[in-house]
Amino acid sequence: MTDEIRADKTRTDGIPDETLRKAVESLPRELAPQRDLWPGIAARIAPPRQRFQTWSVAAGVTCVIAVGAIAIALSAHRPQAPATLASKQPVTQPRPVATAPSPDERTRMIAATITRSTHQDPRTQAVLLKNLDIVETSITNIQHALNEDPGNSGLQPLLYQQYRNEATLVAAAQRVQLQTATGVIAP
Amino acid sequence: MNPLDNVTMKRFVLPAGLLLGLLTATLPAFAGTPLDKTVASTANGRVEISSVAGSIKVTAWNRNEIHIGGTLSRDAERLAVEKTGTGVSIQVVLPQHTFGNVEGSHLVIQLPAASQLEVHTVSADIDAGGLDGSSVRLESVSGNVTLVSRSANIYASAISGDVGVTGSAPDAKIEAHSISGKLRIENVNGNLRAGSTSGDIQLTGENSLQGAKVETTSGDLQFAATLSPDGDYDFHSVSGNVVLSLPKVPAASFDVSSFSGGIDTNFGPQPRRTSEFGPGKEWHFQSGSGKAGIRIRTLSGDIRIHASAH
Repeated sequence: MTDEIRADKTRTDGIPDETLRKAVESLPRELAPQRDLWPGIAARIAPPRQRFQTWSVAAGVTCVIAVGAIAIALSAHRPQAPATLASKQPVTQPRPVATAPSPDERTRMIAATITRSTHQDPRTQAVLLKNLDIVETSITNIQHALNEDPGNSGLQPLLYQQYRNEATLVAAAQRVQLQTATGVIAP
Repeated sequence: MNPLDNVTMKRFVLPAGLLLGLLTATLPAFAGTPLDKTVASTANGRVEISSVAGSIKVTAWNRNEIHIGGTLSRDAERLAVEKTGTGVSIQVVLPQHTFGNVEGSHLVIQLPAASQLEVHTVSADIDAGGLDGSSVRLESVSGNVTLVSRSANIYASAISGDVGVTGSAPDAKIEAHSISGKLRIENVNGNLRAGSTSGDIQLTGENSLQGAKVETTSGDLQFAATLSPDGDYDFHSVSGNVVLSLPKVPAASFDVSSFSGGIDTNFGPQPRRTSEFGPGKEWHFQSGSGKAGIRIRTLSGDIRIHASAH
């Protein structure tokens, strides 16, 4: 009983309640967080990322296919070594192993393909490179959006469309190159 | 020199010289070889046309032949008109290894209305009208693409050019794409698939679309057309705004959400927050039988759905 009465006046650590009340009152009413807490909250309350992971795999496969297609297109336009020289290559020479490039490398490869294919048509080159920039910005924005809102089912088709747009730009550049070489546009 | 002569020189001779020089400079823009060639065709044959720069205007007529008019650029080597296995091919041929900035050819082509048309250009504008054949495919890099038709299969695309499609056959399949150009689709009937990256998209018309799948990253999307009673409509954007202007509240179910953009409607319940802490909003509403389905998703773009009568 004595202990209970004493607890009304002072805390067991010896600090009077009045002192504690004043200390509490002296504290600021609001305290802004030192950093933006929303991304963490969003991540915790968001649905599971299984869809995003599925998408990531699909996007990776799409990237590899796109890069493969570009690599084939690039190699098709490289001057071939004469048959006599090619036949002298040692057959035991190890073949280079292809690795998937990073997004930046992929963009640089596409830009290089467009630049090389359209070097005789600077106006079209400028149009294609400007639109490549738009597409790459769009891809970055969509990927950022997918991180923020992984449950948004509409973002994945949008991302695929941008990869198709990359392919469209490369195809257009190569059409221009063919037209420059042959004089006609090949459909 | 007589002072009067000096005044005459300044007043008349110099302007006349400047005018002559200006005329001489602009003459090449109008120069070119006039074209006037007619070839036999079939009523629904395939017609392929390609040209790099200038313009291609295609109109339909009721004869089973193709007439090629207009002008061939002085930079062009020749106009190649050839019979193919399925129809006719018309190509503006430039000399090999021609550098950019060629003077454009301006082709004016009349062909049977039921022809299957395919046109490819780099910077040339394409304008086709009056066709009612089974398919039309128009593609350009930086030229504008315009089609007015009653075709059953329509594909129109550009990279930086604007794309306009007006009319279609009933139950047609329509595709329209651009990266940075605007898309304008009007009075089409059937199923539409349209997409842009940064260009705005506008869909209007009284004809009923059975379905539409429209995507844009940063372009704004405006839809002001009649909905089919059992149609299926998907509109997706990242940062572009989506605006639906409907003549009346349709018998449809709406599934609308935005991750951080606003939702504004003038019928149905108020949009609500997707979670207590997040900035997202959603709006779910079914009116009437609700057979038509409308899904709208944006990340940061605002959504506005208004019905004129409700």
